[in-house]
This record gives sequence, C-alpha cells and structure tokens, in this order.
Amino acid sequence: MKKEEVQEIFLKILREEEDVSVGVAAIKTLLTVIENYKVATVRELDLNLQLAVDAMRHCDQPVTAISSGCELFMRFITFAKLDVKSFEECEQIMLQRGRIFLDTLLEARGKVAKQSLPFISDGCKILTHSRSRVVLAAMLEAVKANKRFQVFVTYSSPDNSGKRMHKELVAAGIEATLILDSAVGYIMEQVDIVMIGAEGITESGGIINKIGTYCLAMSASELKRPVYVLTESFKFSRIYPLNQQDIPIEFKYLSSVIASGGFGEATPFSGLYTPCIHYSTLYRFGHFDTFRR
Amino acid sequence: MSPLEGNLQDLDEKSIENIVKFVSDIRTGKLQGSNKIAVATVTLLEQIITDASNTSALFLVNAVRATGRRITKALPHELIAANMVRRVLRAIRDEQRALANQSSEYSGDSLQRLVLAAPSRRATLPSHHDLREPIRDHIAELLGELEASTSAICGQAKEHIHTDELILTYGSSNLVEKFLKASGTNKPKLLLVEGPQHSESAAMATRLSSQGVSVTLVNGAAVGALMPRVNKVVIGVRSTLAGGAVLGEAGLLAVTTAARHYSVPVVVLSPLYKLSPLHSCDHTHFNALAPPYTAMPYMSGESALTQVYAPMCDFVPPDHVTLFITNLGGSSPSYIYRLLSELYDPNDYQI
Amino acid sequence: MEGEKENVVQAVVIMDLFNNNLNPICTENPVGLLPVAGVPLIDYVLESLVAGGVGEVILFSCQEPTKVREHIKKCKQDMVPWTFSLDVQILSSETCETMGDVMREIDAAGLVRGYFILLGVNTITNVNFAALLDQHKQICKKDKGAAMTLVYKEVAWDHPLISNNKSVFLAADGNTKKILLYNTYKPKCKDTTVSLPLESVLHHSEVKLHHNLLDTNIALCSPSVPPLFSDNFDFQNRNDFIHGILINEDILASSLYYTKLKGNQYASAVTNWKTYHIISLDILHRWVHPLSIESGSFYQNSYTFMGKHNYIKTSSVLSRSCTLQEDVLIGSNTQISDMASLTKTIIGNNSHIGKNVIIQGSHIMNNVVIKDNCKITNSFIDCDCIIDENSILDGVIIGSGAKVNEDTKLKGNIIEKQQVNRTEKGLSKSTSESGTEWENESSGDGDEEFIGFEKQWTDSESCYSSDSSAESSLADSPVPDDTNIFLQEVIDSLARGYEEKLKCDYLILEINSSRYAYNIQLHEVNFYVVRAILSLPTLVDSKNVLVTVRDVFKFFHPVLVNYIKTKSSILDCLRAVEDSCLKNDWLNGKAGQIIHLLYNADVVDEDSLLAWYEDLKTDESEIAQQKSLVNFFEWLNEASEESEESE
Repeated sequence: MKKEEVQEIFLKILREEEDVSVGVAAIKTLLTVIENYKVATVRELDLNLQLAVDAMRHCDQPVTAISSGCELFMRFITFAKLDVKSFEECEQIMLQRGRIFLDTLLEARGKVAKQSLPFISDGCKILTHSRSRVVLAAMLEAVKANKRFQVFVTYSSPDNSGKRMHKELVAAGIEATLILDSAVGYIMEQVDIVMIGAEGITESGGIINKIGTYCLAMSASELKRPVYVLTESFKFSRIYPLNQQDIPIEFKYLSSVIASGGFGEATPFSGLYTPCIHYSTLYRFGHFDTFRR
Repeated sequence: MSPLEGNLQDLDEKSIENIVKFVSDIRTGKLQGSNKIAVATVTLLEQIITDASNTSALFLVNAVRATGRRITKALPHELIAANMVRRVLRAIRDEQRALANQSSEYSGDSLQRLVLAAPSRRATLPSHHDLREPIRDHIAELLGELEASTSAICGQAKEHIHTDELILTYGSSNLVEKFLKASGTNKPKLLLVEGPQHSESAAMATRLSSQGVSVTLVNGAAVGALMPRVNKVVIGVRSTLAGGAVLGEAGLLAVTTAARHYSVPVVVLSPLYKLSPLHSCDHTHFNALAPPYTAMPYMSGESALTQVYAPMCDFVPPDHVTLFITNLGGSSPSYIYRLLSELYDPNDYQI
Repeated sequence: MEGEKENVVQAVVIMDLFNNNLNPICTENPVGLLPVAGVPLIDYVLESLVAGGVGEVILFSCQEPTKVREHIKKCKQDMVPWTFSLDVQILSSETCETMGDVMREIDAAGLVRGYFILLGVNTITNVNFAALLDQHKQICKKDKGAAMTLVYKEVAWDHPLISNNKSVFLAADGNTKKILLYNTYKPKCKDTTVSLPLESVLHHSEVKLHHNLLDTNIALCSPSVPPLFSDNFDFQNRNDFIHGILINEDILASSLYYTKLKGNQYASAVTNWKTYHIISLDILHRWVHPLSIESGSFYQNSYTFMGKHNYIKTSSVLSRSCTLQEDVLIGSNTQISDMASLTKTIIGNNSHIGKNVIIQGSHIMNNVVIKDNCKITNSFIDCDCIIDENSILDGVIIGSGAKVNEDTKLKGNIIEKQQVNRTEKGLSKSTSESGTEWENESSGDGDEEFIGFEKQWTDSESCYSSDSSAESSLADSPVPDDTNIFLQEVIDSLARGYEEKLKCDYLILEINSSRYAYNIQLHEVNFYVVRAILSLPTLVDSKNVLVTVRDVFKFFHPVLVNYIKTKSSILDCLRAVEDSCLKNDWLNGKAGQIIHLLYNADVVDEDSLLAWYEDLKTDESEIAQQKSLVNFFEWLNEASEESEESE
C-alpha cells in the first residue's frame, strides 16, 4: 500500500462530496483501506491503517478532525480483535462496525442541528465565526421551522471562509451580514448569542477552531453573551493542551506550512479556545458520551 | 426510539381521561405543591402502565412518552411532571435492558455500546415478558424516594445551619421551612424576604417564629442592604436545570446577585425530582408570565389599557449557586449534569 | 356524579343575548360559537363552570340549536377536558324570544332542582361558582325570601368596560348586601341626579351606593326564581326581574342581594363589539387565568409566546420584515407578508395578510385574505372574506364571505354577503350606528369625527323590547326611541282604560311594566304619563276640550296621584302640561285652564306652580305669555294673598 494512493482516495472523497467534513472523509478512507487492501493478519491490518492515518495527516488539510476521527475509528472497530477466531470473520465484523459507525456519524450533523433548534429563538441575532457545516445546518433547520433571525458572519482571514458561509446563508434566505474579524468586539453588544463550530474538542473541555475564535469567545465572555459550540462527537480529541503553545504543531498549521518550515512567522490556522467559557455547552451537543470519562 | 421523530400510537380513552383529569386538577389549582404533583404524576403513569393492553417495553415506553407529551404540552411550566415521566421511562428502559442481558449500569447511547450491541439493538426485542411487575417495583421505589426526599434533605440541615448564623431566604417554601425547623438546636436567625405573594411569606414567618426560630420579615428592597451581614442564603426553587442553573420564584435573581456580590454562599434545596434536563435556552420558561393580578389589581382603570408583565419565574445562572442539596447530599452546580445522566436516559431528555 | 344528585351544582346557561348588538356576525351563528381570542365563547363558559365546581349544565338555546348541539358533540368526540366532569343538557325552543320566556320554559320543564347558577353564554370568568352559590345559600338561611344574588366585579369608574356598557347604579344595605335600588344607565348618559327613597336610608343603618360595578351576567338563584318568572309574565329579562322584585318586594315576598368578586377573580360579559375587543385583550393579558387561549383545545398549547403579549401558532408563517407590535394573536397556517404591521389584533387560521398592510385593534377570523397595502382599524372581519388592495377600513364589520373591492374606503359600515360592495353606501346610513360602537377608546383621535357615535348608542337599548312587532312599528315612528314607544304604549293603555272604565290600579301596573320594558327613568314616567293623559284620542275628537279634560282628570285621578307625589314629580307634571300645550293643537291656549283643573284636583300645589311659572318666564317659554296662564296666576296670587290675610 502506498502513501500516495491513500492520499488520493482521501482527497477524492473530499473533492467529490462537497458536504462531507474532513473527519468523516478520513473515516471513509480508512474503510476503503480495509476493503481494498487485503491482508492476512490483524497486525498487518493495524499497520496498514496507521500508515493510512499518517498519510492523511500530510494532505494539507486541517489535522485536528482527521486525527480525532481516525483515533475513534481505530479504537472501536479494533475492539473485536481478540474475541473472534478467524481473521476473515474479524475483518468482516470490523467492516460492519465501521459502516455502522460511519452511518451514525453522518446522522450526527442533522441531530445536532435539530437539538440546537430551541437555542435559536425567534428574532434573535447570532454571531458566527468562519464557516461551519454544523452551524449552517442548524441555521437552515431553524429557517425551516419558521424562525426569524439575523446572522453576523466574520470574514475569518486568512482564507476568508466566512465569505462562503455568508453566501450560503443568504442563498437560504437568512438575513446575514459579513463583518470584519476586527469588528467582533464592536458587534458583540448587539448580538444575543454566539454560535460556532469546532474542529476538535480537547479533554480539558476547550475547543480547537479556526484562528480568531479565542478572541471572539473572550469578547463574548466579557459581554456575557452565551457561546454555543455545535459539534459532532467524533471531534473529541485525546489531547490536553495547557495553553496555546501546547497544542500540537500539526493541529495548528497545514502540513504544507510545516513542511516549508516557516511556521515560526506564519499565522497559525487554528487556535485553542480555552475552557473558561460555557464549557458545559460542549457536552450538550455530544451524542456519544464515551470520551467524557 | 429516537426522541425527535416517530409517531406515537394514540392512548386509549381511559388513559386520556385520566390525563385530562390530572391536567385539570393542576390547572385549576386543586393539586398544588411540587411533591404532590410529582406523586400524582407517578401514580398516573402507574395507572397507565397497569392498564396497558400490550406489555412489551416498546409499547410501554411509547405509552408513557405519549402521556408525557400530552402533559408537557398542556402544562409547559410544570417541569416536575415531565421529570417524573422521564424517571418512569428510565425504569422501563432499565428493565428492558436487564431482560436483554445488557449492562444497565451504563446508560446512554455511547459509541461503545452502539458498536458492541449493534446486532441486538436492531433486532426486535423479546416482547413476551410481562415487564409490568418489575416496573411496578421501580415505581414503588420512586414513590418511596419522593416521599422520603423532604426528610432526606432536612436530615442534612444540621450540617449546613449553625447556631447564631444569619440565614436569608426568599419567599415562602415548604421545603425551606421544614429545613429550618429541622436544624434542631442550632437555632439560626432568619431573614425572610417577601416574595411576590406577601401573605404566604408572612404566614411562613408566623409558623417559623411559633417554632422558636427568630424570624425577621423584610421587604425585597432591603436585600442589598442586609446582604453583607448574612452568613448564608438558603432557597427553594421551582426547578434545577441542566448545567446547574436554577429556575426560581420571580425576584430570586436579585437576591442571588446580591449574594454573589457580597460572596455570600447560596444553598439551593432541590430534591432530585426537581432536576430537569432542560437548558437555559428554552424561552417558554423564562418569558412565561404569571397572571397580571399578582402585580396589579384589575380594579384600576389602567388594567384594560396597559400591558402588565409579571414574570412567572427567574433564571439564576449556575455561578450564583454555591451548593445544591439533594436527597443524595450536597453537590456543586457543575456536577448536576452527572446526576441528570444517572436519573434519566439521554433519549428521554426531549419527551 | 357521586350518586347524590342533590349536591351537584347546577348551572343554567342562556345561549342567546336576545339583542342584535353583535350583528351581523351573530345573526346566523349562535352567539356561543363566536370566537373570542380564537376560542368560542361557549368553550370558555363550560370550562369556567367545570373549574368553578359546577357538575351539571343546562344550555338553553333559542337560535340555531342544532349548531350548538353539533359543537357540543364535537367537543365530546375530541374529549375536551370539561366533557369528563360536566353533565351537559341542551334545551332549545325556537319560540322563546326573551330571557323571561326561557326561564318560564325551564320552570315548566322542572329541570332545576334547587339553587342554581344563571349565566349568559357571554360571560367570561374564573370565579368559583360553587363557593358563590354556597354564599347565596347562607344568605337564604337568613332571609327566606332571598331570590337572587347578583354577581358584580368592582372596577374603576373610568374603566372602559363600564363606559362601554350600560352602567349600573346600585344602592344596598351595607351589612346584609340587600339591594335597595337598582338603576341602569345608557352609556354616555347625562343624568346627574339619583333619587334614593328616604325609607331606604331610614330602615338601614348603613347604605352603600355603588356606581363602579361591572355586570358579569352571573346570578345565583334560589329555587323560587323560575316560578317568579312564570308568575309574572311581564318579566322579559333580568332587569325586569330586578325592577319587579324591588318594586313589589312585599307582594312577591322576594328580595335581591349582590356580591362583589374578590381580588383575583375576573368576570365580565361580552355585550357589544367594544366589550368584545376589551375582553379579548384581557384574555391575552391573562387576566382570566387559568382560562386562556388554550381553553377548549384539550389544553394543548400550540401557541408560542413572543413577548409583548404576542402569541402565534407554530404553523403560522411570519415574514422577516413584518412587525407584531403588541397584543397580537395569530392562528395556525396564517401568513403575514412583508412590512405588515399588526397591533392589538387577533387573526384566525388560514388567513393571508398582504404586504404593507396595517391592522390595528381588529379581529380577523379564518380564511380571510387581505391584499397588499390595506389599512384596517377597529374592524371585525368574519370568515372567508376578501379585502382587495389599497382598501381602508375603519370601524367596519364585515359578515362572512363578503368581498371588498380595490381602493374602497369604508368607515363605520356593516357589510354582509348579500350586499356585496357598491350597495353598501345606502346601507351604511341605516346601520352605521352599530359600526361605530366598535370604535376603540385607545385607538386615538379618529373617534370624535364620527357622527352620532354618542347619541346612536341608544339603539342597542331597543333590543330589549325584542318582539318583532315593536321593532317594526319602531321603524315607522319618527324618532325610534324607547321613550316614544313608551309614550305610545301608555296612551294606548290609558285610552283603553278610559273607554272600558278599567280600574286605575290595573292601569298603573300596565304603565309600570311598560316602564321596565323600556327602562324609563322615574321622572320620565311622570312626565309621559301626564303627557299621555293630555294626548288621549278622546280629547282630540272632543268638541269641548276643557270639559273632557276635566272628566279625564277625574277618571285618572288615582293614576295621577300615584305618580305625582313629590315636588320634583309635580314639576315633571307641569313640564308635561307645558309640552302638551305646545305640541297638541287641541290644547292651544288652554294651559291656564288645565293647570287650574290640576290645582283643583290637588295634584299640584301652589309653591310648585309659582316656581314653575318663574321658570317659564326666565326661559321665555311661549306659553308664559298665554292669556289663560297669566289669568290663572293672577288669580292664584290673589287667592293666596286672600288666604294669607284671612290668617
């Protein structure tokens, strides 16, 4: 099995399925790996999977979701290793579990959107950061439920992903305003709630998200605006960062930046949102409690 | 059995009649007091389970859930009734799991269980067993807990109330009254702040002082001035929410804000049946209005021309609360979510 | 319910108002089905009865009883809460035309077992009926004759529910709450005096006078009430009953009491469109708690509260830019388009409100389409109406299925389906008065412009006469006024009495009953009786008027003495003479002689005459210059001087 082949599969999934998040794409890739690369022993399979995970981490995609998703997947489908006799049987069970796992993950976004419906009240103003598929799904769900609300979206430099979010919101008939990243503090006093997505959840209860989130959250905390983080539960990561510096470098920078060695000066892609604010809200949206204890 | 979708079968006529009677009793005020409402709800559910034509877990869960939906729709502000429905649902689920030989100690839709138990979950459950007998045991247990909850909380009074402490409480509450009486020889001094129902507060003050507690009845406006001298604030609540926030009588927030400002510990007496898996987002509860005559008599000519806002309850954020005292002992606000997941099945958070 | 039928509290609900205040909406449909804040009146009534501890209800329906029956049947199918604990009987009789008829019917049917509660279907309340009835029973223990306790809600005198209703003046014993005097006034009544009999003050240590009571249309009745109605055929409605009992307290051996509702209890009655609007808002404001907009729908609360007392059904669609200012209720599947602005408005199900529509203080029922740029103020629009673009409606009541064309401007009209559009101009004249009743106090300055808003209020009074013949004759008479009808009736009965030489006592009774039927004040009665005597047809035909007048006065002496007793009544009498002499040709120039006759008959006294004469002079009345009158007063002065001298 080649590293490039895995990367090819992974990127293809990302390209073809617009709506899929990086974490889910990674899990899909792993499933394909089990199916396509026939091996004879559990050990080989394990090695294969680890190779695949490593390959995906170097695809110039945000790593946080990939690593947490893959970790979860590895952990659960490989539970079966010891208690079944033949390897074929074992492989079959793994595949079956993997699919169930994937199905549940795919349902998760819709569930989160539904669960977050009561948080969007009629006539409220929401501030969101960057582009998050879950937040978008939640807002679309709210529109379906005849709710009237107004959204402020940050540009979210450096990649200006907020622009795309804004476009999608407007297309759905939601009243949305694009604001500068630096206008977060200004706009905060007008908004009722802050609603953001997350790339990963740390064990300490913080979230890892697009750069600027920390600033946004501090501003919200100062003005006592509730911050709701919408996230699927496969994003729970087994890291416990103590401060911003402590976050693994590959979580903060795209692999291309790391490869070029220039991350000393470059803006980190992701930042840690420390657990000081509303960290109970994190659990609210987790559907699977596994990681909590 | 997803909580969000799924059509429930309709209840039979007799059950509906029972529900309607129950709802009417509460609405017309024949049934009052949180404990009584809790007991009545459980009794109602027991009746419905006993009358159920089919005894499979699925059927029972659906019947109880349908009842719960009707009750919550008719009484959106009676969170306790909904809590009791969740407790009974949990009992049924536990029984079902015990039957299916699954470990019931760990509840919730965890990934692990999802994966491991996948085949049995999708398969149809064995439905021939009569689940009603064990469920009835659960319900009896629950009723016992409801009955004992007041005394269990009052039993802890001596730990929290010490001699010559200056205790402040807000409005009248049976539980607080019993709690203070139970402090026994540690006679505290009490400042009773008048709630929206002045007469009830006054009546509570009279009863307490006849029991030998030294009570001073003060106006709500005096809270800020008195708070620096207070040793402890003890309050009863309407409901405890997920995340450790509290829904209390209107005006409570002013008291707890003052307490927080002067760093006076706030002790909330909350029996387990008041624990509700509701989040602070549900505006139906925070916007709910009490009848306007609590604020202003209809007598006045203005009553027809003005809009009167008399909020039904106040939302107190978790950081205002120091300690919850439940049947099981004291717990901090950040621990409430754990109690919730022990009491209820996450599937039932939304009925 | 519990086997002991005796203990079940009975209530009688009269399903009709027997007037046309709520026309044209309630001409085809029973009043009970008129929705108030989205819920039919009958549902409120039944739920409040259940909550108030009533176990058995008799619904008496005169108008469209089948619809009422269907509604009750449907409620039972839907398992509406009250159906479980309430025994509902529906009686109907198409022939009943007044409340009195209904009571007689009930008496004949013998359905009422003992003490019972009598209320109209228009009452909205949250009182505890059982407790009130117990209170009445306590009163009955002390006073065997206690027939009825009237239930009132005390409100501020400037409360809109008082100023838009017939207001009540009540004098009662302060200790026993026994009613001594009961007057009702038309709205905007200019009366400034109240006469209270001296004995009522002398015989009671404490007399309470109330002018700020709101009639709740609830009465707690003793078993003697239906027979009393049966015995007195002239009791047409509750007011007749009250007046009758008060006047003939000794003869009927019955007395009346009243009770005021305490603090939190709410009760009011929908009597016209204005009170309808006020009560709708009261319900939205939760004054009637626990009764609410969820009543009757199995308590299934599908409304979302949006602050500012705005409630919407979750299935309704609000556009992003519409504004709900305050007190708005929107039913299911209703659409509100862009830039629409709603205030104090109730909208039913499946309606569509167009763009830039402004609606204020209006009630819009189901399936109504209001197109863009309309402006609707203080109106009632029944089901299935279509209002086209750019219409401006103000104080309009639109019956079901009507259509209003583009660019229509309407003010105070009533539109029904038959007279679609175009013709409504002619219509507006005859009916505008009811439309203007709709005007809402709070809605600002437009009100004063309305012609006749004040005076045409009286029209609703005539409804109490209720029998159709009276109404048709009413249309012909120049001034369709109660007092004119009253006068005519008095003339008729006096003429008949004179011809047939009836006993004057009977005539007095007849006059009294007419008086109550038209709700005529005492001083007016005095006036009109004298006028009637001077307008008898015998006088018109008579050759020698004065001789006939003397005979007439002689014959009617008991009648005159009965009414003309006090100083003020004498003045009434003299004014009547003045009026008659001016209006009736046959008495032209004979004022002095007539006054003389009255003086001789001891009906009028000297002092009053002189006072009256002074008044005449200062008012420069025509007859003050009449020769006969001048002569008479010269004679009177001489006579009095003589008598003084003789002393």
